[in-house]
Amino acid sequence: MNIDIQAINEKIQKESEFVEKITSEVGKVIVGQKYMIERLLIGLLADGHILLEGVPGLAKTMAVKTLASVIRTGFQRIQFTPDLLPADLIGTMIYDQHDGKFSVKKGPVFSNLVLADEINRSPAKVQSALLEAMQERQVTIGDETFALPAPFLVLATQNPIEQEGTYPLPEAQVDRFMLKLSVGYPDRDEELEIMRRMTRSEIPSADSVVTPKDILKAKSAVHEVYIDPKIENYIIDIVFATRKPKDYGLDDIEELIAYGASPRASINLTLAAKAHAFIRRRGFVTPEDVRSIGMDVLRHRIIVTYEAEAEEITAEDVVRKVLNKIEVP
Amino acid sequence: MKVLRFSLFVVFILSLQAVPSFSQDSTKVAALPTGGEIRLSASVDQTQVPLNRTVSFTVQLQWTGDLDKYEIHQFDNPLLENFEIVENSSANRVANVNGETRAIQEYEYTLKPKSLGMGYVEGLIITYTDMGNDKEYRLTTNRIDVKVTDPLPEPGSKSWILWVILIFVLVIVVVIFIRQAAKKKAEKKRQAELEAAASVPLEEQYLEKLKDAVDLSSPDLNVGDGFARLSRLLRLFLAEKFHVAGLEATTEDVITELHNKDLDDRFVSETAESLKKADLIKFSGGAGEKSDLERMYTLIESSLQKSLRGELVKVLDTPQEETEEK
Repeated sequence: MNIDIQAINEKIQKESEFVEKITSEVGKVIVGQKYMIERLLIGLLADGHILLEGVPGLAKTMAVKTLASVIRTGFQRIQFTPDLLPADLIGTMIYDQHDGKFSVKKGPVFSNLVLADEINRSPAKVQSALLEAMQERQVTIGDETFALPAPFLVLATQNPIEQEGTYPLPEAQVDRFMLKLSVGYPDRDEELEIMRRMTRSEIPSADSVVTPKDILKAKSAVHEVYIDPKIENYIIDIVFATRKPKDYGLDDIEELIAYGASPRASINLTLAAKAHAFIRRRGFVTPEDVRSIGMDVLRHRIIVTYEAEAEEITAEDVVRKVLNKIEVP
Repeated sequence: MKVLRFSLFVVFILSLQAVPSFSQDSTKVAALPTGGEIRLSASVDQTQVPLNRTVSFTVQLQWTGDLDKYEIHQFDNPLLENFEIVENSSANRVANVNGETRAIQEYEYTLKPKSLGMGYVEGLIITYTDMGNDKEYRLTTNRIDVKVTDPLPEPGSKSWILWVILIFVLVIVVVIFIRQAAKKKAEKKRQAELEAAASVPLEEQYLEKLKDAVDLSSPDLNVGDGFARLSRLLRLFLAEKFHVAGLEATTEDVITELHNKDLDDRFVSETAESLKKADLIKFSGGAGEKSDLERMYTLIESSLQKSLRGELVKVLDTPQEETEEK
């Protein structure tokens, strides 16, 4: 057992060498936002998609664009609007007058990194088209089914303000995102640095340091990260505490939760914790990994009651209480 | 002639009994005015009576003027069907109503039913003499019917139920009392234990627990399990001594909290080393080395001893000393 762990550790150390290169290259362009960059990598390595909530101007698009250029992979940005159609996203059949035949025109979803900007501005049928592609990792146009390229990461953004004329993502759809990030403003020093960088004549750019092949190799290494049964039980305890809080001495939040986290939460928390351990260059998962990523995995999977809403208690407050109550192994 | 006499008799009877027909109310009144001056009424206090209870039958005569205005002749007890008289009484009184004197003579009979069904009080004929003209008159009451119903349970007839309830209540009270007493005793014992424990310094308690947690000399020592036990013991001590979330926080968070508490740097670094080492063994699936376990044991033991001597808190001790000097 000991030898295996050593081997895994060595492998992880080797495979995760590029993590520092990526963060340092992205850091040339993006100031701060370490939390967001780290989560983007976790999404990329754990095969999970990310829902990002934050006000405009927080470098969301730039971060994904920079990440795409650093790993030398495809990037597409799709601005979701009320008149967007599923075909605009996944592609359609075009009639060729010369041949007299229909040919497939693939949509922007056929890329490695897809930024679905303001996903809640489009109606449900467009959202469903994207979310289905995310889940199945394949798209059917006409009679043909096309696999999406690997790695494939969708980063969807939502604006927490301006809810008028939007189509909020249904809870069942939100559950398909591995992580939901809440991006905040940079601090004073970071903002000063951003201001200086972006007002120079030469806009900084990042070099390509990793190939998609490296990412795919890293993805398989992430699956090998060791997770002890104690940690697995810790994850199960956390998820179950959102469903049956009373069983975990959380009587005070029993009335606040309408629906607890789904089994997808346990799966994604495990995968994300493994990816977190990987980017920390560790071959095994610790409670630290689970705690670090727990909020991002759970905040969109818990539906609070009207009573909680009336008391201005959010799903985040509930997750915080759960994480602070469950004993670490 | 016969017809004329019969007709006169009927008219006489009708004039004598010019009363409305009774309803089955509890009070039935038969009133017959003679010259508009004397009234007779008969009533029962209830229209239904249980077999084992009694009903009151009251006959009342009243007129305007003094008592000696009329002479009421002695009359027989009323004829009864399915009733028997158990008591009777009479009373005379004079009242002043709206400025005029009113004389009242009252006869009351207490009747006991004999069997279930209907009971009847037959009409009563009362004769009296008007002392003014020395003429004799008659008055008759109507027949009154009373329904005799099933007997009511007599108090004490089902006393055993009451006894059972009483005994049940008593048993519950005794059980509650015993439980309360036991609870109080247990609480007292717990308090005593707490007081006894409080008198022993926390560090000494944990030094004892440390000995019990891991026996380093045991040949069956499970090193991996030993790391988990020592880690938990150390976290419990930190939680109790320094009020950190010892069991709920991750190692990193515990170390950060300890740093924020201005504790001795060496203690914090040794604690961090112990917890991190334990985490490594616990979560990497490794068995761990006995020498590492011995080192962790020694570090915890020495930290507890230092804490006992008050050598862990570097900032909090200073103001206390200053105060003592002052």
